Amino acid sequence: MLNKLSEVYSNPGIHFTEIDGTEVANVVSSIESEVHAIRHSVAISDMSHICAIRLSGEHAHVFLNRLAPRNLNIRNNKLFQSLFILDDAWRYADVYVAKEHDAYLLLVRGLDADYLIDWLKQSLLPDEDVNIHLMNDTHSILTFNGPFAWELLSDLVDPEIISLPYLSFYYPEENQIIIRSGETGEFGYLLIYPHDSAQLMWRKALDIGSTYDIRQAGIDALDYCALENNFFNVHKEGSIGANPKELQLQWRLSYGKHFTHTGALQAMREEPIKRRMIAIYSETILVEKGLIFCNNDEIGFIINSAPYLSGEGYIGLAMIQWPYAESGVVNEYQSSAGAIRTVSPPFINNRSLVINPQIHSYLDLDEIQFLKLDALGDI
Amino acid sequence: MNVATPSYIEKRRKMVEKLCEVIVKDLVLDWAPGEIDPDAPLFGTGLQLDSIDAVELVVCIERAFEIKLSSSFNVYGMRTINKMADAITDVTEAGYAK
Repeated sequence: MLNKLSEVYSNPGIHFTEIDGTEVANVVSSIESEVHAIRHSVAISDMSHICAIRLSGEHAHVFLNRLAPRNLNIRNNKLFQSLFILDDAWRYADVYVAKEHDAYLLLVRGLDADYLIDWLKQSLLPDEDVNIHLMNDTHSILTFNGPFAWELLSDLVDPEIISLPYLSFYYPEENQIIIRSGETGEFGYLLIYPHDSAQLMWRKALDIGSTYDIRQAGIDALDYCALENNFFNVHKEGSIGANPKELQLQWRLSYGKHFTHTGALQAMREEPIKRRMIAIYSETILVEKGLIFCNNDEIGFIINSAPYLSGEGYIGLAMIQWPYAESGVVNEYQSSAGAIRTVSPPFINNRSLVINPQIHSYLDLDEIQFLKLDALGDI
Repeated sequence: MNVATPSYIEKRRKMVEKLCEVIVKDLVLDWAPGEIDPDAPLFGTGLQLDSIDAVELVVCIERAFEIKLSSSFNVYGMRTINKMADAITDVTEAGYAK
């Protein structure tokens, strides 16, 4: 089913795909031009496949604390990344937990809304007072990403937005939420707006954003940028049954905390690691699910891959057996197409790293000294 | 496999382990070294280090590995343990060790 924001596109040839039960644009023009906008200026995207859930009620904290593998000790108007571990077979949902004054806001990917609501309701104990409210019924979710996303939003919403810290949020108006997050390595903002306001914001952004060379970007471009920056993709690396240690996601957990899958987590912690996900580069094509060999011995497989748009060749993520899973091994491992190197992500030097909103502007782009985008150029 | 590769892997693993120990000890982090994954983000999200930690980190690394990072060292590149291990490898292989 199409979501409300799908009505805002005016250009032909848009491709839609269903993610977690919601149809969103995966390519609006071309992935190359959309990634270019994310890396150099700003792009706007529809993220309505994210389930936005507000948990309120007397027992909301106790309830969420039982489900979340990470301690909930955050201040109001802050958020953190964690996981919902759905079972001992390491099925996940990718979760942002945001602390409101008297509620928690969950931004969840990897599950469709009906499944998520059912799972949450089934996790409730009798007599627990928790209100589970799906915001997607009334709200759309859009995102701005790019080294100058802050500048466009300061024009569109509020000049003070440039001082919003990473992983924080505020309410520009009643019923509207702006979160600074992003998974492209660039400045990123997530807007949760009522459907009508979101459509209005989209059109206004394209109008005002022409000054910043804004482009509409689909999910494929965002997923590609997430891969370049090694942000977790629940639909790729999150779907292979690997544990958080293998996926290098231990930072999203709090060991020693009691929650529904404490036992599985403790067992994982104590067992020696047998394989680990690492970043790879090749001059020849990397095929997802393709096997990786060393001296004709199978040592792993490719999880996620793409042509390297910020340089040459191909980049990807692979699950590699211990002890082979170490960065910096050059051309000792082979895919079906050719030699691969293990490398250290992120694959790029984000332009946002050198941007200071207090002094820089897109209008003075030529005066800013950026690093070379390709972080693998010297290998 | 090239005969030098297993020893490279072993050397690299020890460097990564030492880096995790240095970070936990010198920055007084509430993590065990084995809980820090080599590709986990150090700043912003992940371990949530800040710009002051970054300055301290450079000093800690220089002391622990007895190296001098050059003035052109890309501090923006210190985004993960593995990135730091790359930087140390570059410095030592280029002969910048103290």
